[in-house]
Amino acid sequence: MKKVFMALLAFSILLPAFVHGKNQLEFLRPTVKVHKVENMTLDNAIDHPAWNKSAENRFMLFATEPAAINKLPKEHANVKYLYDDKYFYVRAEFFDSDIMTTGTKHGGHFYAQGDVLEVFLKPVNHNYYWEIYGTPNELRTRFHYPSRGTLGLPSGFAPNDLPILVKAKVDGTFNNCSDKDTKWCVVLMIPRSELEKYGYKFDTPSRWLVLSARYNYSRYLDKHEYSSFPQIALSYHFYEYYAEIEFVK
Amino acid sequence: MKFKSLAVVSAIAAIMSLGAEYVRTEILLDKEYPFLARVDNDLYYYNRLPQERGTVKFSKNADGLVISAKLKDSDVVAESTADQASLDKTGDSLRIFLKPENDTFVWEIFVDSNNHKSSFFHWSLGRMFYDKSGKPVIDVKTSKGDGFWNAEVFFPASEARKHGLDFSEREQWTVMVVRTNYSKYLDKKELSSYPQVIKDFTNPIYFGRLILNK
Repeated sequence: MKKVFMALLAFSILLPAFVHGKNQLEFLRPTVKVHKVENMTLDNAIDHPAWNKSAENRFMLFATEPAAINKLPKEHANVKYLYDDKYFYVRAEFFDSDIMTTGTKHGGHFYAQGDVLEVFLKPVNHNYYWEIYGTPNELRTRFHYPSRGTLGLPSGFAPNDLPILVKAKVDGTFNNCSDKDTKWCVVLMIPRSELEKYGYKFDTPSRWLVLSARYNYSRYLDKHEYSSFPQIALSYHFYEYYAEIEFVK
Repeated sequence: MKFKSLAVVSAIAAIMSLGAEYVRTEILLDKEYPFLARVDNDLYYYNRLPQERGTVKFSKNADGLVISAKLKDSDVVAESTADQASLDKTGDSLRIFLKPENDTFVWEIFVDSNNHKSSFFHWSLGRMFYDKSGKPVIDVKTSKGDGFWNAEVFFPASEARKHGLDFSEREQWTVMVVRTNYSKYLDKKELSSYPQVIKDFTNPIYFGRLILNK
């Protein structure tokens, strides 16, 4: 809830500049190509060869001031995307000196419990959007907001038994800070049936936006670290900064 | 408690950005790039296009580097009267920095919509002096019309060879192109560049890396 309040406070400060600002300038939205894949399953999700052909998108620091623009986090990360007729696949690779989470059940607010991948998905021409999590111990959460104007209401955080699939691979010792870990990889398989349930197709000609973001907790960092692709300013709920998906068949 | 949380997150992010590695923009040859607004103290300008847009493209031939710009402009104005001046002070202009990544010296080049040109060689960005008695080493071509002006700047490789470089694929070159746009239709003169800059156009960390091998 603290995170939601932080987002709301950021909006109240910045959103007027976006909507009513004296110097209303067009934002150059990044785009990301998402290729079609065949034969992706939960078992082969992490190492499917199709990922080798998919572009690697580097995470940049969460920006609260101009000095952070175009800067890498201390612990690097990248994300790749694929899709097929059933799922949207998000594969993140997180270099991480201390892989951990205290989360134990699906549906948690994992950003407050440890390392997490957050994926935000929104159709361009509608207000609703999703916030979906995956953790190193293969837990998942799905929040859905009818609009940013309803962000914070309990209904947005209602438990949901959604068949999102999560596969993770840890290169290190999970929840053990006595040594230094290397990295963890996670694939989220997000069913298109969920994304399309309001009648808006997850494919051309429909237009979609995506953000992949990270909370990184570590014994070896002075402070926990936030980063994302594309780079985002002030709040992960600022979909004005999200990348637009270019579906490639 | 809630206000403290936002302050804490902001402080954390600010601290992390201080020692963080900057990712230099890579620039491909023969591709058009948009000018982006200068970011001053306000994150709002991050990745924003200026009110009056333009594009820049870099090409290479055996003799040197060609920098071409197409600029939309509601009021094309330049009051320069001669070459070899800081042309951004007198009207619509481009200011180009060309610098080898692994050395300190830099060329600073100006062209304006009056077809005037300037080039200054500096031993480093910490040693920028403007010798107005010299002659520009570049060639330029400009054209203008209702609502636009275009510029093409040719920088000869022979200039680079004087300092032991030759624009080959073995070398790392960086570049910054800054546009100064005066207009009676703008509240204030508009500064934009490619790559995008935070505050200081002469900070070499923001210069883009030219990818000379195709």
